[in-house]
Amino acid sequence: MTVDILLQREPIVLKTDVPPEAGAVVRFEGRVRADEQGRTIRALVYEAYQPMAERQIEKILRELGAKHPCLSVRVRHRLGEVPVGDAAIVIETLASHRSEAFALTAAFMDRLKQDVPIWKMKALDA
Amino acid sequence: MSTPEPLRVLILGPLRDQLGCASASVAFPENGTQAAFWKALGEKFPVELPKHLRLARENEFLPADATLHPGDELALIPPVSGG
Repeated sequence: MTVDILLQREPIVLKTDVPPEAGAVVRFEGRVRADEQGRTIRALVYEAYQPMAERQIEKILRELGAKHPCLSVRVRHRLGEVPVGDAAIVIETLASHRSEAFALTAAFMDRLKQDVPIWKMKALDA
Repeated sequence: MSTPEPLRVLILGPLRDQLGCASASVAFPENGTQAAFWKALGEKFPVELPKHLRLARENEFLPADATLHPGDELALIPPVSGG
């Protein structure tokens, strides 16, 4: 399984050439909502402990890839100010069949929210 | 006997704002245990630290039974909130 990880300050643009052996492409986008704990906001500010975040994302993907064999996974996470409506995270998983791609993508999001040192530092009011 | 080299602790995420610094030097705890480290950290920062802080070394979370070494660079990881 190939793994491609990028933590970036720029908006996420992912274009994929899907190889013929991929029967499933699962893409998850986690977007910044306008409502943050009852407040109307215009953006969230993210920060990472970058070397460890990248290391942990790769480790989690390798672990999950052994359980749910996929062809490739690409992960992009924004850092800095991310406006409402923008994707803070995009995961794109290619697999031969949908079940593995769905399972890996869902499990990865759960693990990201437990074990990857990235933080929402503050919410900027609208 | 010489004093063991202190630990360098990176203070990350929201915890940095709470403690007002990005790193700290912490005296090497007795026997290098994590329990002694947390005690020393609490004495250095006499504020209510968040629950569920974790320690990392070389970009990996430390298992609860891992021993600290003099001069270690540790990262203090508050609860994460990515995605």
